[in-house]
Amino acid sequence: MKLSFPSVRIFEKEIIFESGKYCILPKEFTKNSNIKTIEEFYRNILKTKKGCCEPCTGTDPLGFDFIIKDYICYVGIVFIGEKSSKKNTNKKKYPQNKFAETYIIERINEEYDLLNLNKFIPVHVFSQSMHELRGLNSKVSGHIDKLLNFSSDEEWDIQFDKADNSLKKIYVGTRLIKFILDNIRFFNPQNIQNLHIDKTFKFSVHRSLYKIVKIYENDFYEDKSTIEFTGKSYKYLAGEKEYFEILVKAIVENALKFSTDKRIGPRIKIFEEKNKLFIEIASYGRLIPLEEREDIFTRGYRSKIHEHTKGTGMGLFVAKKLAEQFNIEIKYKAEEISDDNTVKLGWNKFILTCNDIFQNGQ
Amino acid sequence: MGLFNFNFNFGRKEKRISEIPFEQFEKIKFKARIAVVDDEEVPLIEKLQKDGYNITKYSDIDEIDGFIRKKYNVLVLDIQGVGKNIAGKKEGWGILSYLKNEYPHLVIIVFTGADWSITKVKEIADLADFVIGKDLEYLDFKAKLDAAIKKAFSPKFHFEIERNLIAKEITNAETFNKIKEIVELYGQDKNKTMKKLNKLTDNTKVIESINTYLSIVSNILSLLN
Repeated sequence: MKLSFPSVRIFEKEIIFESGKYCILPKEFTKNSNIKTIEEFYRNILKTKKGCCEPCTGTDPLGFDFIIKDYICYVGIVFIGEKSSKKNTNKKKYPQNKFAETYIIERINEEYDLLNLNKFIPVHVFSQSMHELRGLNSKVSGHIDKLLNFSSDEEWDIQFDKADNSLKKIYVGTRLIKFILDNIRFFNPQNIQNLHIDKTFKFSVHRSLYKIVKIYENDFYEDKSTIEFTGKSYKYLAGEKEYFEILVKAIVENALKFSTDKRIGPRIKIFEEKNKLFIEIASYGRLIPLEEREDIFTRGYRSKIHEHTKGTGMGLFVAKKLAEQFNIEIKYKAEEISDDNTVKLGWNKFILTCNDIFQNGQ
Repeated sequence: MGLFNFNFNFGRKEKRISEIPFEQFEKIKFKARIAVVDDEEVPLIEKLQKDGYNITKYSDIDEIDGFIRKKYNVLVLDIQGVGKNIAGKKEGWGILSYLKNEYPHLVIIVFTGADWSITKVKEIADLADFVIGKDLEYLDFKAKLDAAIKKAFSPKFHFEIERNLIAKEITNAETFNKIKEIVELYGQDKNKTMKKLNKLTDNTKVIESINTYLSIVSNILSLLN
């Protein structure tokens, strides 16, 4: 989508400068002698300022002003007013690109809101509906917890297994709704940035992981692959387990979604090695192409091989951010099985390394 | 041993203040007075009450002083739809802000379905001891409630609040440490502590502050009997 003003963005590692709807991109940006410097400059700006919710302005090495808000960066602008330099020759050369800084700030905020659908769905209406939905979900989930009569974390799975199938389904439904609401919540970068996990709490990693498996084993899909869950660990992590469950859920959900052959379901393994706890979540299907592997944890990134599958590109980004809070490393590993030169098939493995584990009571 | 850790000091027995051990906490947690303020039904409360928690449910707080006089240990506070009469548009945030400024010893769990809009009121939200989403599962909610009760029964938590007030009055580090030492060492005997303290300082704010702290500790101790 063409933006209102000349802009820069990164697409598949390539840096792209484009003219805007209201004014063109100054030709200095496409001059061979400038390309290297200007690309390096904006690559750095886009990297460091990405996620900033307040517009930031500055001047680039070509003497043009820029403004960036999160992932939108207008370039090739000349600010008029107090901040502008009288000697700036760009002013004369590009009169159509001259704007007051306050005007551009308003426009970038507007365009940002527009791209985030804020103009079509008023934020307060959206938020209110989400609160109501969440409130209602909490009522259902509270009542179902009462009916299932969970008494302790230790006996959760026994009680769950014994429960009536319809009760299980209602429980799973409330949890899946919660996961969707959590996803929406983390669309707002501030909710990720300001997230603080209380480390005074602790939880069993194995139990939390097993719970997510149980939820997906009992979801509502008819034709689904079975999750193979192996291994055992008695180790604990510090933090609030609901956030760990969102993290694990994002990866398990991905594994289920991208298991192309339903006969071969995702494999989840938990094991300990050298005072570390590992969780391996693997799904069989098309391998993530080599050139994309670096970007899979980027906000909003969608792999080319899954562009026809529903998704937002937020799952792995949120998982990575939550993992940082628990000092968990997430790595991707491809285990290739067949290669017919067109489609590479194998196991897409996400390996979580939990560094700060301890025994209960420690 | 729990709160009654005896220390020999110059041949005399002293009762030192310390944290409540796990086993004793599990016994007394049901004695904690918990208030839940929510304009809607909270299905988990019934189960928590059945499990033995001492919970009183309010649909709103209309008269804050009357509420304070009931001396709750933990308050579970909803945000949306409560406090409109006393806090106006600020709703629950207004109540939280008032209570934490005026009665910092009350442990408050903000219980909200609106935790994604917290960024707008982050400063106020940070006043809460815990912020939890409404769709928390029973066992997770119970864990948070236990943590809040533990905090409310923690002498250290209450001392930290008074410590900040005392630090503003007593700038001499040596005097400050002596006050701390007296409180820690003789704290379970309020009269003795106050006598020793009076010898050390005549600052009324400090004396008042320690008096508040010792009263709170004394209330916690009475639950163990």
